[in-house]
Amino acid sequence: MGAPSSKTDLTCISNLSREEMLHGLIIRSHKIHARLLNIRCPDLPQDFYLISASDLGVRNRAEILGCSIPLFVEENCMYFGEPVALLIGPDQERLRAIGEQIQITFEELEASLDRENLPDDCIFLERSYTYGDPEKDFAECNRTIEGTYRNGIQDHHYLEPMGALAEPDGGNLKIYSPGTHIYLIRDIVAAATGMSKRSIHVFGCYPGDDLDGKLWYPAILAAQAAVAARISGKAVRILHSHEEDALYSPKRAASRIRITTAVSDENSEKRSRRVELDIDMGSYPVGAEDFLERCVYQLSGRYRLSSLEIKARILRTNSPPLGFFDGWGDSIGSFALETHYNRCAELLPADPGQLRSDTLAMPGDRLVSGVRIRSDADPGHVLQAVIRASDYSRKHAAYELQKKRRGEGSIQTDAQRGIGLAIAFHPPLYLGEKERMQSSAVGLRLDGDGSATILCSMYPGSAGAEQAWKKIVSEVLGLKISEIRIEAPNTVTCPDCGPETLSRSITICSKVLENCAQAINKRRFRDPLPIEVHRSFRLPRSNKKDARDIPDAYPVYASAAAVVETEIDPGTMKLNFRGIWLAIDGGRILQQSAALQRLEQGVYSAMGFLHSEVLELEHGRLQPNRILGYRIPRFGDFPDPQIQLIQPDRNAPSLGIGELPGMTIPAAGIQAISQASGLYLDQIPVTAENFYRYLQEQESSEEEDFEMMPIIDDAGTEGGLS
Amino acid sequence: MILSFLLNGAPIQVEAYPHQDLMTTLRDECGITSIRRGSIQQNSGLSMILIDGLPLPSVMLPSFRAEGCDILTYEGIINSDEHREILQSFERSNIIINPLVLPTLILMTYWLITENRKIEEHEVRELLGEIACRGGVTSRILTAVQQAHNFRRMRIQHE
Repeated sequence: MGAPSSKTDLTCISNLSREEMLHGLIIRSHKIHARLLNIRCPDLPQDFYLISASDLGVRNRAEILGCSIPLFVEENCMYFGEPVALLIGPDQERLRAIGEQIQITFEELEASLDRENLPDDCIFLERSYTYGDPEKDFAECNRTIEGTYRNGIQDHHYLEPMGALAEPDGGNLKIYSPGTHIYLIRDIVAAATGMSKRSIHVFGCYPGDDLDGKLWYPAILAAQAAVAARISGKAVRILHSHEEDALYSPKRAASRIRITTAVSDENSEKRSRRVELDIDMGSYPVGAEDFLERCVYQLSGRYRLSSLEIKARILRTNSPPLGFFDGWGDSIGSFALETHYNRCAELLPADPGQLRSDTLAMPGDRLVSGVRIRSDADPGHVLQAVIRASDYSRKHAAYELQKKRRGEGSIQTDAQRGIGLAIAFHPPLYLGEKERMQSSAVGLRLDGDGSATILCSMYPGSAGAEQAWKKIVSEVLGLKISEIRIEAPNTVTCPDCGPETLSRSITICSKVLENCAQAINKRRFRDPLPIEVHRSFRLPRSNKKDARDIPDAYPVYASAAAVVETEIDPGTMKLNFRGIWLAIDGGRILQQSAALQRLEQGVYSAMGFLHSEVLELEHGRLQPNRILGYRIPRFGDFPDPQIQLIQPDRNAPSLGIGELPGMTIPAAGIQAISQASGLYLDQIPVTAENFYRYLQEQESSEEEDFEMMPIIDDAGTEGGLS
Repeated sequence: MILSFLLNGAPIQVEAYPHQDLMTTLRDECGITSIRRGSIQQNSGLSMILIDGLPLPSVMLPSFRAEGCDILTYEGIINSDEHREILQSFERSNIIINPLVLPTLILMTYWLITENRKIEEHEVRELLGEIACRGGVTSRILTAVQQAHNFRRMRIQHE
């Protein structure tokens, strides 16, 4: 491995500047849902411009992943803080002063905010899936277990904020953006400016953590800056402040997922599930179809079921745009399913590890989605590995006993402990045929001095992925790591390798890069230098469709199992995490240290999602004072995760593993906190307010001596009510 | 106002607004890009600099605090032996980290190892706890800091 690079020369949008550059200040809506009537602007000094929708006409829209987004409010503003106009000028202090004098008149409209009770016209997308005969199975089963699981929104909290710089360059336009799909930015800028795609040159800036927050939103800023640069004839930079980033950039989508599982005491194979899923993707549900599909995919699970029914909806509310966070719909679907499984285990009762082992679909089984599990994708080994490493079964039983005795008042312990388990499976790439439609090209150049340059339109995604890319080229071409460099992503010299999401930098780019290096190896002693080759990713022919004509994105799925152990100080109610264990099967691991780094980052992100990153919309807007309390994890907040990388087959393809901690840790963590506290928790993040509410609910239910248990006994023998 | 101070060993004079924080002045007027605000909160730990040998978050300081001081930033240690030793120890400990955080981490390590005293674990943890970062295993960083300290001691002994 090469020395860790300590870069101050990274191309960051906040570090870019040009002579006579104009700054952009976004004038935002101060209403949640309203009709725009008028914009009144004072006389502007020379070199100051105000640009609004009327200056763009028909080009004021960006079409992104099935959603049409205006660059500036046209008729109706859809969320608080939506861009109404862009004020540009050479002096930031004066910009702010003029910005305060701009008056926008709105006619207020009724806002749709309560995602629990929305009118039908707020349903952006609705899908239903049925497998088997759930109606019949539910009638035949004698017990149902029900739960409603919610997740809050989460901010990406980038260290480098959103922004864009547009610079006229003769007849061309240069765009600098931290977006993770620069070819998408090129297309949107071309549409907004009416220029040809060939004359738009996009240069990628360092995006920061690969959390999917910069998939599409920077394209809007780039288009706004580009329009301003065209009008003014000067370079224009829009740079969000951290406050703007926190208040108005897209966040993780919020969801409510209700799961009911029917089980039969007489027939253990009779197991049916109903799922009702609502995802709030805010005012502009970008990528709703794929987001929903992946969430449903997770909810259908890798467990054996006799029948399944899923009713899924994407809601369009007047909240700021919500959506991707370190994966698409996978993490919220996985959280709900795994939390529900832990709930089932508690109520049946059964050991959660054993219950999973007994019901997991094994190689050769066909999932409810139709895909057959291949022989090299046995999920049992990650489950057993993490159970062994954490001593889960013994601890779970002991803490369960401790909890029971606490409930009876027979013991008082200094600390209340709990432990939780969850597993997840991650299909890399887009599902089914969608990956085939996605451009996935990478280039490699062997230069005259013997060094190699990687040409890719995305940043590697993480420092670990960068090391992995270099290592692949180094091994195939026999070069030193220091002789390999990565060209800054741009649309001039780098082929389009698609967006940096779903671990594509590893699953796609590393594989294609290997092909490029092998192609160069064949030519390097035959052809003169430099030699440049471009290769594209192709799905293996054997994986296109199975015998039932069902498309399969990839031959295997990355799988993970996680255990989280916690304790609560009964005096202060302070949570202390005692241990985090992960077992990962990610196929071929290109570089162990790089994989570990990505997983550690994922663990921190997931732990933040579980309990410290609390963000709530109040009447459709984030309150700045609440944002100030938002806290992403810091070094040493949690014990070092114990991570096992299981490599059953070194010849297997490399799978995406980065999203797996986010799919397992929250569900495992909430079970651990539930066991430690004795409270039934069903939503994340676990905040002090939520905790208090659960406590109040428990106390009131005990006072009434009437339990609201989420278990229904049709036979009425156990006295549970719903 | 005009401020005079030593920046990375060189005397410097800059004009700064009185209300501006030192981080903004260093970034905008002196081209110091290794520091950043990094977060909506006042202090994310990524604006740390050494002022007269002490680590302080420049985003929390008014610009006039720099007057007459000796300021060291990451840019000022890039060519030092310690920087090479720190990178070497980070490499051995498999520390791969967000490149926006790395300069701060290296500067803090530089401060710890050049203090010429025993490095206490709690002290390192306290410093690291200042830095907002999704990822980074503390025990490996602790090992790397100790290792960098040893590298430096050995070099000085040989010299």
